Amino acid sequence: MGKEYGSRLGAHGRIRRVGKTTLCAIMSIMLLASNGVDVASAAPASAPLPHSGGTLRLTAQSSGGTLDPQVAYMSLTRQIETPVYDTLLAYPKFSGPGALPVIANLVEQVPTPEEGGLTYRLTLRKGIRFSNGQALGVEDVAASFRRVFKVGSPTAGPYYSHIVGADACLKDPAHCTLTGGVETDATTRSVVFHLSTPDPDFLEHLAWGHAAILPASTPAHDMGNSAPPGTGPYRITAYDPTQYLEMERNPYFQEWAHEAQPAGYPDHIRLTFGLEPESEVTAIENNQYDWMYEDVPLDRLGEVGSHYAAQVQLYTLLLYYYAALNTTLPPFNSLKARQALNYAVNRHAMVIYHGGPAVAVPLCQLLPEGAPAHQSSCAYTKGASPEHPAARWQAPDLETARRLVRESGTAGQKVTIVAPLDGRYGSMAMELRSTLAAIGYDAVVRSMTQTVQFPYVQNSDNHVQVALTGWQADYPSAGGILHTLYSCESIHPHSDNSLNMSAFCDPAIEDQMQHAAALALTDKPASAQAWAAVDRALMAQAPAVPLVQIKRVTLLSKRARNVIVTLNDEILLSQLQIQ
Amino acid sequence: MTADCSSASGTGVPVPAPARPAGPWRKAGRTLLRNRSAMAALGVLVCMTIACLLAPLYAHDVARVDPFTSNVAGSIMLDGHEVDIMQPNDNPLHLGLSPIGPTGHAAYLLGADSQGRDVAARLLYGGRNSLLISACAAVLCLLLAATAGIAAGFFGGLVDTVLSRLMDIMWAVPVYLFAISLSIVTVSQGLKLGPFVIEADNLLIPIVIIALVYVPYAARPIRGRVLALRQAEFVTAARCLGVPRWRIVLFDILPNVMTTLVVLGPLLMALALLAESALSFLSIGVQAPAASWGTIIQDGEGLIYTRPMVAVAPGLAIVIVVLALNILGDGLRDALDVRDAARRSS
Repeated sequence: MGKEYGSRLGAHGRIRRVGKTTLCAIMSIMLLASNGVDVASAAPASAPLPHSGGTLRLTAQSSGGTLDPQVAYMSLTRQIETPVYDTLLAYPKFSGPGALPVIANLVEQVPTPEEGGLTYRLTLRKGIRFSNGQALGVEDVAASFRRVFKVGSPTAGPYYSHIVGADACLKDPAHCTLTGGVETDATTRSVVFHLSTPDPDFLEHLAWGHAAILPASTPAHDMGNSAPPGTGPYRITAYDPTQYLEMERNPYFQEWAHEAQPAGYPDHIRLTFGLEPESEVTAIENNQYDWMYEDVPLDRLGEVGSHYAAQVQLYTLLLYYYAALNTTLPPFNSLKARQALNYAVNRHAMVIYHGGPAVAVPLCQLLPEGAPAHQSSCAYTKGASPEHPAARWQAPDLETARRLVRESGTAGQKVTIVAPLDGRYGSMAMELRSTLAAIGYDAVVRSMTQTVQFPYVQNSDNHVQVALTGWQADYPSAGGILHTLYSCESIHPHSDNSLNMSAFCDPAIEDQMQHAAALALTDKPASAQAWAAVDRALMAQAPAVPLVQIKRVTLLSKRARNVIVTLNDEILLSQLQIQ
Repeated sequence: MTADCSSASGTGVPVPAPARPAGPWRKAGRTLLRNRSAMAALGVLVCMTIACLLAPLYAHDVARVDPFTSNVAGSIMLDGHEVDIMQPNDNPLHLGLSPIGPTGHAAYLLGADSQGRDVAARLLYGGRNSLLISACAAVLCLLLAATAGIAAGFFGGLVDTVLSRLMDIMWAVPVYLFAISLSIVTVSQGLKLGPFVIEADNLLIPIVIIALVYVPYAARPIRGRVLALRQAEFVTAARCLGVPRWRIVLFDILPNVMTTLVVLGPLLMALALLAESALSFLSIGVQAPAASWGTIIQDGEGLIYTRPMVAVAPGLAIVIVVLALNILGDGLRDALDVRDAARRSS
């Protein structure tokens, strides 16, 4: 892991020299911290980091809404709050393969599952303080997990329902106690989680942002525009969702684990809202801002790549686009019809719509590149089949597609594609419409704003045949992606919150998922193999048409240095140096 | 009378029948023909209409393209060389692709849009829809406005009160807000009128919506004209003679209102064209893959830095047609509006 960090620093000669000294300091702090030493007393008194200081100027088109870390679900807020709030465990704040899995953050060690994955014991580090000066205690941990249910966190059900007592909390959030679910002991600083059923992703869920640890006194309602105190290196000092957000250093922060929550470089961070992405690009080119949240617009890619290549950051996300095929409605209740569309779709065109091969790659499986258990294969391309998949997508196979449509007896049927009202989605939807027409369907596109479309396509009452959508995994986990999107448990008829938009339910594949999930507790490599097999089995049934996985194209100012990108937290804003 | 008749017949000299004075329509026609600006505008409109009507011929036989199918992975032959429709940008990171620009050849004369479709062919197809919708919306609007305006002005009383207040309410809502609200509802679900279902992509939907939102703007001047006509001597005379009301409306009022309708026609069509373009730009007018000038501008929005022609060409077409309609409307008003003519002559 250290090598990876060093090699990133190696990209900038001036930083490399500094990096070595910093690394030594970090390693000594980590050694002390890992022995359970009180960090606040052991760490040097906040010596300023090299290249630290200055104001980091950020820009975004609009705010992410609420600042409450247990409620906010917008990626902008998550990215901004990464250096503000901490979870018990965390994803490492460096990039590369070593950045998985989770590491200890507010606790001393990553717990080992006990009793078949029903118990997790953790010990809280000493000496950590919130940004209001209050010391972090085990009671704050218990209260924070109760608060997840009380404030109706969007992931309270999906991620924390395995905790003993969670059922009662979900039914009656106001009186949530999690009795028997979270046990604490202030004298030993221990926190014990008891689960009612094993959760193979429980460690990931402890690292997920909604499990941020807040003071026990934090009101049990969405804090909206007020940011509760956190333990990270920064605190939010001002926020007007229509104009700006300001952050400054947390005066009580002492670095306890550099790889989990490193100290930041800028003294101040100011995020301004309101500029269109086109204007954001121009402003950064003019050095008026240091970072923009939105991707560089497609029509500016050429200009940015030509004149500002050194300022561009291109990185892969677990973000991909796909078309969910409703397996309960004609024509896609026919396996052959679903396979036909998978064969016919031109994924090269989809890549072009997102800016070309440098920015996007064709995707023909449900686990994107970079996800654990991803094994590259393509069942639906020219010369391949589910039984004999190719290594990667080559070209559409319209002949096979037309034959399958004929055999399915669904030719000529009307198909409606419901897509968000957005340039890229619009182009993809039109491409899908052309493809459907080419293989014998009467296809139309119905567009609606994204905020309306996403819940609309999930509700079975709307009888959506094809839903064009995108999915960014909350955390890198094969089970998190496949189980969330294609398990029988994810089907909620008549609800706007039914993420299995294909309404796909196959008992055999469901068993495979359970098996892969159970293996994760004891044998991670075997679990990864099992999830890869689930991916292939799912693609054989083709409940969706994976289209394209994209990279994020971000533009930074000339003065921004030390860009660290992670799969989970993207660009670490606190680590940007202003020069 | 008798004396007059006998004296006339007694001369034995044939008297030429007095020349019949030219009718108001003929006079207006002559005045219009003398108005060079109006005639030039009419010429432009006719040319644009013919060009748009020939869109299939251009697409299939001249450019040889399908303007409704995505073609980002395709290529064309230019001067014996195969050229990709989407061309990689020349930069070290290989970021982005740009659609081919204006070629100067029959194929992709104005370049391609972000889906690799021929902009020139789509411009002509889009013009068909834009002109059809605006013309039909203007006609429908005039029909509704004439009905409402004549009923309110001629019958007065409760009918006038109800219709006028209804118009006031419609007038109070900003026209684009009103149109957008109606469009969003109908575009998502289509329109169900009893046993009849109009699909969301049917052009009738924007036609009806645009016609409806402009009814108050046309009905008011018509009502005012009818109020004046109701007091006219020939209407009073007809009433005294016991002529049925429907005959008075049909044969006395309507012909006198017709000039107002004709003058309003091009102006309403211009407004309808702008409204259609705005709705289509917002994706709540003409639905893909069909094109209108508004949808093409939307297609070009994301290419404004690299391929401005995609947005500029339909924008120019809208400007030219709206300008021509306004000049033609002014010409018609000059030719038909009696009061205006009287004012000018005095």
